[in-house]
Amino acid sequence: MSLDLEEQLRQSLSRQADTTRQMPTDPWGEFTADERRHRTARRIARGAVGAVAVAGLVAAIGTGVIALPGGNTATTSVTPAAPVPALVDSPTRGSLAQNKTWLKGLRTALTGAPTCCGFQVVEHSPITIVFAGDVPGRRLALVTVLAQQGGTTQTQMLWLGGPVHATPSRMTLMSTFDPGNVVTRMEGTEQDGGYLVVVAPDQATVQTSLGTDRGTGQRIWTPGKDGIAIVAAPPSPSAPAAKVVVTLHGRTLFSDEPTSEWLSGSTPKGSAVPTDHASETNG
Amino acid sequence: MADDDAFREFVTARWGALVRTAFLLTGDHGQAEDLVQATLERMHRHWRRVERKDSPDGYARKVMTNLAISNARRRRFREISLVFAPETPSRDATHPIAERDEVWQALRLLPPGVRAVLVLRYFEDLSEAEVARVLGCGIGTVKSQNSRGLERMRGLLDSGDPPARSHPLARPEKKLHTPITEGMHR
Repeated sequence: MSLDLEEQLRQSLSRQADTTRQMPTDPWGEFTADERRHRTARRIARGAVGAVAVAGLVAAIGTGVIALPGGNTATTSVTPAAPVPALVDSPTRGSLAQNKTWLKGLRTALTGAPTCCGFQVVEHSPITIVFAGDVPGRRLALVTVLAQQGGTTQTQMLWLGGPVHATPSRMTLMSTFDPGNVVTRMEGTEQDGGYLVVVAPDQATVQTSLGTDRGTGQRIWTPGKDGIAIVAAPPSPSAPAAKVVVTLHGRTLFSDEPTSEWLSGSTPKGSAVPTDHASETNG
Repeated sequence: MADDDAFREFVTARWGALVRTAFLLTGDHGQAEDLVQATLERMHRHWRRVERKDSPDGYARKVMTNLAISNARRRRFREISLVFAPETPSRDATHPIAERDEVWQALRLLPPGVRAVLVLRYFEDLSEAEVARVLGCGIGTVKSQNSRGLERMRGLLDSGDPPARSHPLARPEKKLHTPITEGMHR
């Protein structure tokens, strides 16, 4: 290449920026029209949620699921479908679930910790530790917090990671995302392999597959336990063709590929698969 | 009313520049305009405070970059990869357009946080300290993200293959969650 990468990048960004459409004649008009539309949509959405809630309440009273004072309590009630318990309502799971000192240390480390990319756990945020434990090559924690990001405050789930046996203060923020009922993460490298972890509500049935049988071409499935699956992923130049299926009370909660971060030619965070036995202090 | 006039002036003056940066952060024209709209709506709600305490440009950059990172993490990777799906120019170091495309495509394969650092550094020409302020992190993190991003781009460009689709990260079936910081140690 004739130019160094930084100069090439400058030129490329400048050229690409020029592909954006010409400034509209009235950007203010476009902005206000869109803003009005968004405001209306938000009102409709709020109204729809309210209407559904009222309709549900009326239906519940009508079918006797909710008894009114003085009402006919002998009315046959309709058994609603078993609700899917929220992931955050499940007990903490993982190999560190019973290690109260470590969990307490993690809560302390999270509160007010300086973070990146405009992300900040708010002061006095409730912290739910959904998963804490070691997976092949890493110590992981999945937590729910109230966080500020991009000018808004909302509940977010975080993956925190560190070397195997890391103390809470050595755990690093790896990613944030909107809370869900099934969380997956696959991470690894070409040289060292890695892991696949699935965290689902504690009564859920989890099945994971990292590939197919060469002879039959059929997927090989590995069951998880108590809504958790942790599987070692072998070294591979690209991410294994993984699949995760999670069911609960006969309902499929998740059937998809896991979220994946797989690096070819190097190890995440620029080091060998981390181990840190010296720092193990349980707190 | 005076507030609205000032905000209107800001929108009129800065819309084009914001869309350009938003496109580099998202890689998609539609998403870029949506991102700018979302940013401006947030600014509108807090305009008085923004005008009083912050530089509106700085505030817009901060909100927009963080929204872009956050949105990208939520989006499935296959959505991004479809943008690359059409024909990819074959690698030819003497062809400046192909070279530029490859640089752009390599940039698009980086995690959103790293990509944002590179856009702010090499398009907005911000210093490392200014990028750190926008992203709310330390200068050390910016430096490491910057060098990691360039290193990964070099790796992609030197591999001899066009970055699109041939790289495992570009596989349409993958979803990518991105580490957003390495600076949480206390």
